[in-house]
Amino acid sequence: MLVKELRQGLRGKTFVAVFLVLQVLLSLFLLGAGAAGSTPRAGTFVSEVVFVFFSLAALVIQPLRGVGALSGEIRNNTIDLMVLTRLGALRIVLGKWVSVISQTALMAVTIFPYLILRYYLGGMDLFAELLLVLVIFMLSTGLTAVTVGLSGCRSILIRGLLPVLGTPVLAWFIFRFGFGGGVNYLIEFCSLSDTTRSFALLGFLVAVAYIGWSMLSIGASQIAPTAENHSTLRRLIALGLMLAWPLMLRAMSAPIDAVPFLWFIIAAPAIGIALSEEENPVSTVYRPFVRKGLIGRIAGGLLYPGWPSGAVFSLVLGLIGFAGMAMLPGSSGSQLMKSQIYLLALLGSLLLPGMLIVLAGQKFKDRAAAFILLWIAFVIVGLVGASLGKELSSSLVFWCLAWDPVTLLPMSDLIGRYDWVTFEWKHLLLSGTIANGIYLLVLLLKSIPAFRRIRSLEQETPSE
Amino acid sequence: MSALKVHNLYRYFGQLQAVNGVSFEVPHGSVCGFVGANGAGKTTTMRILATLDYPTMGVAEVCGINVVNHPAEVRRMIGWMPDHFGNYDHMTVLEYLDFYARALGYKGKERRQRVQEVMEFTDLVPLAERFSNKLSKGMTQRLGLGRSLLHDPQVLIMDEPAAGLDPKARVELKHLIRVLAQEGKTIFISSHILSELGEMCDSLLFINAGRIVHHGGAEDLRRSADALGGVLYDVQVANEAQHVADWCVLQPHVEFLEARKHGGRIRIEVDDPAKSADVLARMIKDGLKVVEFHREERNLEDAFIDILGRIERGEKNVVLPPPMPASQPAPVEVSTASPES
Repeated sequence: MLVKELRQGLRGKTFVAVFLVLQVLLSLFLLGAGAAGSTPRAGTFVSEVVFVFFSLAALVIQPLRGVGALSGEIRNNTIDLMVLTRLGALRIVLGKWVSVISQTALMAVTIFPYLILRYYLGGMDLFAELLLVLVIFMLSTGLTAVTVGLSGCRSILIRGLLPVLGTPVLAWFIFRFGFGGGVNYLIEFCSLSDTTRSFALLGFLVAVAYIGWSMLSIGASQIAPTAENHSTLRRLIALGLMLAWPLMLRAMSAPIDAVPFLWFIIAAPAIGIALSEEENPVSTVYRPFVRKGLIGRIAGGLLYPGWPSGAVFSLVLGLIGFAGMAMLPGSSGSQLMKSQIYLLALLGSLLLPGMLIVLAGQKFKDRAAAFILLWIAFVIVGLVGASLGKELSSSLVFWCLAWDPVTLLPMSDLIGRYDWVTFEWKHLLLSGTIANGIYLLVLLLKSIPAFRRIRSLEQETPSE
Repeated sequence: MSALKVHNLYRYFGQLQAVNGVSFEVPHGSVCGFVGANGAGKTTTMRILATLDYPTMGVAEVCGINVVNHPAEVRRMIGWMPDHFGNYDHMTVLEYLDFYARALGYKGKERRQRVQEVMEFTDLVPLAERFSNKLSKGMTQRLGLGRSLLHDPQVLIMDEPAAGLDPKARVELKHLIRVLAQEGKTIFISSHILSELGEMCDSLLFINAGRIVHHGGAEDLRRSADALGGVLYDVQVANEAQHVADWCVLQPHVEFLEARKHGGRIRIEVDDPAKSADVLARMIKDGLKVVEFHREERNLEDAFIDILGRIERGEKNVVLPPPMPASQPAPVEVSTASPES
């Protein structure tokens, strides 16, 4: 798979054009800086140019090449031919991803000579700049995994959202941040002068790897036959990370405010995928669980592919989140309550679209795409509604939007800051608990008949 | 054990019933033609057999192995050739076949040998270095056939392989299919060109609106249609060709089947020379300037249209499966048999 993809990718016009343009631009700027004289300022400028242009290529253009990875194969009717081989869905997706990141790696290697030349301009922390190249490359692999993973979505909205909205925003940010002193800040950060930075960087790399893998797994699920189970491993990894999560938080000395967001990074892909999976009607996927007897069947309630067990899985991840937060040293009082509200808001933001997709049944053909679009829609509704409420200085507007758990985030920031704010921490906690409770209850009630169907499939499945 | 076995197969896409209780069997080593109008459910059935789609209900097996429960085993046994498929940019014919041979698990010398054999069989050797996306339709179909044969499958499932081919390419493809049939492969092929299917298939399977309406040999089909009675005539006139159609509308026991350049094809319901002579006499009397009026043999297309006509008229002498209750799709009926059993 990789050979084929690399052959096509390296012969393609996009790679050749990006590669040549990057080299020409870097050469010109380096020559210009060299002509200006060997000063630290010239060196800093060269670093900025190298990293900004490399970031544009690695973080914008290369990930964009993943947008058509699976959709192109589906459109050309070639994906069928590939899945009929022994490659397997995950290998097909991995092959496409590795092909793009190999080309990105090639670009990364070609900027080393410029960094070496820049060394002679003085004032360079070679280790930090090389580490920054690695970090950008890793981020590129994560973004490429997102585009490759989502490229199997039937929804053109999802596939179009990234290039149309993501590209200009990201390119603008890279220019603005890069030439606005951001590159120097990142180089300084990458010098790893204290252990917190080292842990933060490690955490970042783990998060990129996890999210990237989750996205590739989504892509694989979309082209795999129903009898293939990609869900169990995905959920086990999420559970493993979630159980290691309190230890990571202690090691990173993470402030309690950040804890819900770190939880969200692990939980969002796992819950999102779990709740958007269809019920699996194939008895062979249940066989490995049934063979383990009662324990296997109980574990299946959490790990079987399909949304019914996904609802239970979401509940478990939520509970782990609250338990982990309570275990942190010094977690008490309003700080703890605020973090709990954040966690409820983030958990609810995942449960609400999940519940709607389950209620809609077969109406959504591409459930993963529908989940993402609904999630984005509710985030926009929550944030726009909150802005409106703030503009009108009206607590009522906020309460009218309390069904959208995202609204809890801006609401919690307003407490104690304005006279017109009539809600308190305990109100938000209660509101978030009720909203999450209702969404979970609906999901669990809907899952009861689905679990009955699964039980009958389990009984059909011989354990030997 | 049959090479292909489909029992009470249903496939719903939302409210659309693409396949509606299809059952049939195809014995090992036979060539079975699958015929139906666009949207009749041919491709859906074939895709289910090829493990590319799954049924709403029912059982589909290839060589006794359930396609839903054991897709990987089934995939090793089948070669799938879709009606159209895109080729890759920047990839030659040789590289294309080499890629698929690798993907199918062939390594080193064995892989090169297999690719060479397939290229020779499909006459692709002269095109080895040509980019695969620069091939003609006929060459592309040969490449597709070559790809589907790389792992030497027992069963070939071919969905409209002759669609869009010029006559020469069609003859070449037909020849290749004949050779494969002689080698003992089971071939399940769909096509719109019924006369060609009649020549190369041991049996024909007619599907309409998701239901099988006929399964048997080409001769059975002709006989079945002949049994309906009636004879076909080619009528050519010196007036406007449309006059023939207009005239037929007003006549009892005469049906206009198909417009032709100078007239049309009609069916006279009673096979009686005196009746035919009477029809001709009435035509002339009514002002049609008949320049030709001759009897035609019934071909497979006519037989197919006859069958569809019978169904449209509500004649239920073809055994159709009972309709599935129009409720939520039921779960897949799964076979628990392991591939070894």
